Amino acid sequence: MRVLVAEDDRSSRMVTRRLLERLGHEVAVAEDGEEAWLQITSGEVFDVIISDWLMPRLDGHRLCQRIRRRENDHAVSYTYLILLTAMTDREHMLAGFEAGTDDFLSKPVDEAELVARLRVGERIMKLEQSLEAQVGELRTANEKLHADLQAAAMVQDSILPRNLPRDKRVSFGWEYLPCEQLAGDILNVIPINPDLYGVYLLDVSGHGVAAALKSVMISRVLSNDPLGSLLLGETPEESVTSPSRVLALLNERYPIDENSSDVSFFTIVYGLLDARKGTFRYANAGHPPVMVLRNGATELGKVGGPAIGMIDNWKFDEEEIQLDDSTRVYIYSDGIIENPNEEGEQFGYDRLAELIAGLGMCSTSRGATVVAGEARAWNPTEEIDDDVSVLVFGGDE
Amino acid sequence: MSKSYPAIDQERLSAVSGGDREFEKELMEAFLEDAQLRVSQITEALQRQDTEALRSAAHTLKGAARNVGAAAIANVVMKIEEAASENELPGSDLLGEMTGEIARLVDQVRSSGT
Repeated sequence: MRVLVAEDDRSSRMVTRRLLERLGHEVAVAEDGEEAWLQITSGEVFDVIISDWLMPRLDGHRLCQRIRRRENDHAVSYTYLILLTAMTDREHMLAGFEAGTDDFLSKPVDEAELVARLRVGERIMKLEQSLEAQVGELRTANEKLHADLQAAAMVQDSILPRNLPRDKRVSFGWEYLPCEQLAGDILNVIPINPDLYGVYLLDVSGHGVAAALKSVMISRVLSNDPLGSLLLGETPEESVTSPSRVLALLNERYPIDENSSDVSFFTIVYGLLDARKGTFRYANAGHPPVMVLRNGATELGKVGGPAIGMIDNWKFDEEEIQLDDSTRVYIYSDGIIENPNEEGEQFGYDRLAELIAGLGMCSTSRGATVVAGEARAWNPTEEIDDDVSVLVFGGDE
Repeated sequence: MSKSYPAIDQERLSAVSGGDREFEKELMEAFLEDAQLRVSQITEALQRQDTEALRSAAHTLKGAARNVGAAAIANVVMKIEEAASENELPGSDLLGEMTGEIARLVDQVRSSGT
């Protein structure tokens, strides 16, 4: 090991140096604490520093304090510190440990004791070094993971609708409040033909990159891109797929594989909004029921079913909702309903119904913003652990 | 009493040097040179009747003496330090004994050094 000996007495310095050299260590010496400090700060790296306690200019106690502060402030490698002392009383020992020393060596320095204490030092230094290396590796891995998460969040954000379709007959509003961790809510309104919109809101279980990537992947097949879309009919004669069939196709395509490391699944409400007829025909796979406001009263959607991938060959039911100038349909993620306040009480359906009834026939964008905002405000703590998303539509106001 | 302590604890010295005579001689010379400085500090402190300075110089000399195995010197200087710690000035007999032991060691180092 590289050892620095700080000792003001010349013959004592010679003795300690000699003993250390005979034990095979590389030794540097300093005549007092200040000189030792200069060597340390000029870039010399020592595994162990053996310092006398009483020295002119800078004593061993203050040298220890400086070294530890420097390690802390500048993230330099750990040095094993041993204070040389004839003083063995408890108070001095405590002050030494307080200053940051690892051990004491009694004077006059005895070879057997020196060997024993250095062996402890060597062991500690090895642990420190391997710990440092591991922390470094973890830091690198963490930075990479963080960068990956940010990239995934950007991709996820890019598939959220920027502008929902504008139509004189129907208006759309939405709000999306992502949680701190990357999660997997996605919503969109897809124009299929001049009268027809595919409307969905889905929630991939779990958090992190896998959930986010899954939500992005699913959004690709719920698009109006003729290549790969599940929405645009299964034969050339068909121009559109029914909502229950879309869910059946998703159910077929994304089974939960219990043998895979990814056991995430997703819930979804998908429906076709016909602006000409004023209808919304939809199906629901494991998602909270849609909430309909009509003539000032709320009611929950009547169809449901298991989450996508849960049960093979499930036949999803459809419900058709009539849209008129006194109707608002709210589709929302469970982050709204299940968000608990500080007492653990969930926001719940009753509060949501009351809130939506109170909002009445306000604009759809205001409806979405207020519902998401109130659900988030229900839990005043900084972090919520689930996304909050809302999609609202109805006859144009 | 002091005669029961050897001028030099050869066992200690060999343990440090590993039997390197050259090093032992260098070490003793360094020690004796510094010891002269401490002795003059002790003498000055005594003249000023400064027991704290006396204690401090004696403490340093004692440590150095023990370190190199100068057992007899360490023993007499310890008595001086003890007196100073009690805020007493050591008697001239102790000072005489100290300089005598240093002289004995000087002789021994000279005679051993070829």
